[in-house]
Amino acid sequence: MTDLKKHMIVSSRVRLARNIAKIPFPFKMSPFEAASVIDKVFNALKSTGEYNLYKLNELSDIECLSLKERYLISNDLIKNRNIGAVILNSNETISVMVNEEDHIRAQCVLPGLDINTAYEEIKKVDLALNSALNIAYDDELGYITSCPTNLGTGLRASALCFLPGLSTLNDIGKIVKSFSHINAEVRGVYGEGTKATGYLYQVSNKTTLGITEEELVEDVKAMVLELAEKEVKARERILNMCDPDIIDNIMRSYGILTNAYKLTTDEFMSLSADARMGACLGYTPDIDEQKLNTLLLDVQPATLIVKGGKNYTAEERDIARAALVKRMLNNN
Amino acid sequence: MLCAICGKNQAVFKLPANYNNNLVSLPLCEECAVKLGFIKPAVNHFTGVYKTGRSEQRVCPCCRTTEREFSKNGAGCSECYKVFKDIIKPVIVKIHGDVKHKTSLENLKGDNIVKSLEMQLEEAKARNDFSEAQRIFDEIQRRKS
Repeated sequence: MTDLKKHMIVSSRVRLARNIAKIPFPFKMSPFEAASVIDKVFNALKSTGEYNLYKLNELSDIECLSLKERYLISNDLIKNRNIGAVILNSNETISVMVNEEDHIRAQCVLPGLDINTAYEEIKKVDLALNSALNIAYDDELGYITSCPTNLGTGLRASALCFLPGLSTLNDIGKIVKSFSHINAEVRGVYGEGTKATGYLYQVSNKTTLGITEEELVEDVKAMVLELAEKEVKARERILNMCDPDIIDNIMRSYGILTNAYKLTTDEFMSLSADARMGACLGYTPDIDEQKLNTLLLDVQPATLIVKGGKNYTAEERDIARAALVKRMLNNN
Repeated sequence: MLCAICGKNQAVFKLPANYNNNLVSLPLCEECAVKLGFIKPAVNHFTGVYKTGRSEQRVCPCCRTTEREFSKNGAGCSECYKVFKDIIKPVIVKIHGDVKHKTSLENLKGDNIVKSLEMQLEEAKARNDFSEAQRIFDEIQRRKS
């Protein structure tokens, strides 16, 4: 059964940037100051829930890379490995980076379009931090951040969207231009410019100052819904085109994805995107959205090693990846 | 150690990465790390604000950033935003427009934070941590005003 609205919003994220007043920003802090900030932030959070602290200089390269693959830390935190840390809640929906660009970068990531819940969750983290720490704040500038682009609310709300229709019809560029006057931006996640591998795009707010947190969240949600509406129309057009090349590509991709003995990460990203497109257009069997979104993270190379508990070679990883995909998709 | 990509610049950090299907620890210079999209470019919005030839320079009392350093690297701490306010203001207007911070009434949550702080004040007093108690007391007064 064709459901053109399925497989649209992969995940929602709300992140905020905070700094402790009168302590140098990470690029200027001493190791002692860095350690002190980590302790303060962890103590502020652990009194409110179950959190685990990971200091990056105590983790292996593979563990760091796996955290990055799961979007729990950034490369900018890895660059600050000697002073950086990450604090995670038990189900890894909340991740608090310490000593990245700012003292604190807290995010909540939830599946599907659920920006409001992600915002409510991050507000609890914000309250915990503000209650325990002297968070740098100014009545005119709002929350003080290392880079002035994040001043004010220090909040970025975003959604990761799967847009194969608009992408295939080359309409993304047009959409991006039409949103340029709104407080929102669209960018490809895995590729250059507006044509992304995996048809994945991130929609997020541009400005953080002069707008309330609630207005910001509603703006991003409104743009995501508008984009989703346009994507449904694009998928309808593609369905009506009945283009043999598009259909053939989708079905070949599904075949390889579910039967290959080896798959590289890039192959998986490309094939799974086509298979997902096939699922929502009804050309291939339906794929559970949550299973596929989980696979997107679990097939990444360092995460395969960490979760598999084995130090695979590149070829062994490609074989393990293909086996995992087969297991997850054939149990659909 | 030299950067693995350009072989010319000194590497500033080692990045665990999946490079051509191999898991490696790449020594990278800042330039190549930015060019390959591994890290964000360090954009300094305050470049050129420092006017050479000035006999006196302001210095942030907290992080010791001078006006010249501010022009090169940006704010060193939250206090820099007060010390260099006149320089920062036009840059902020350029980025965000001539706007002030807005927050919803719900977010102010002043009462909740103050109640929580009052509890922490009692706890600090009970364990004779007077410097911490003083800090919390000052924070409560700031929020109440």
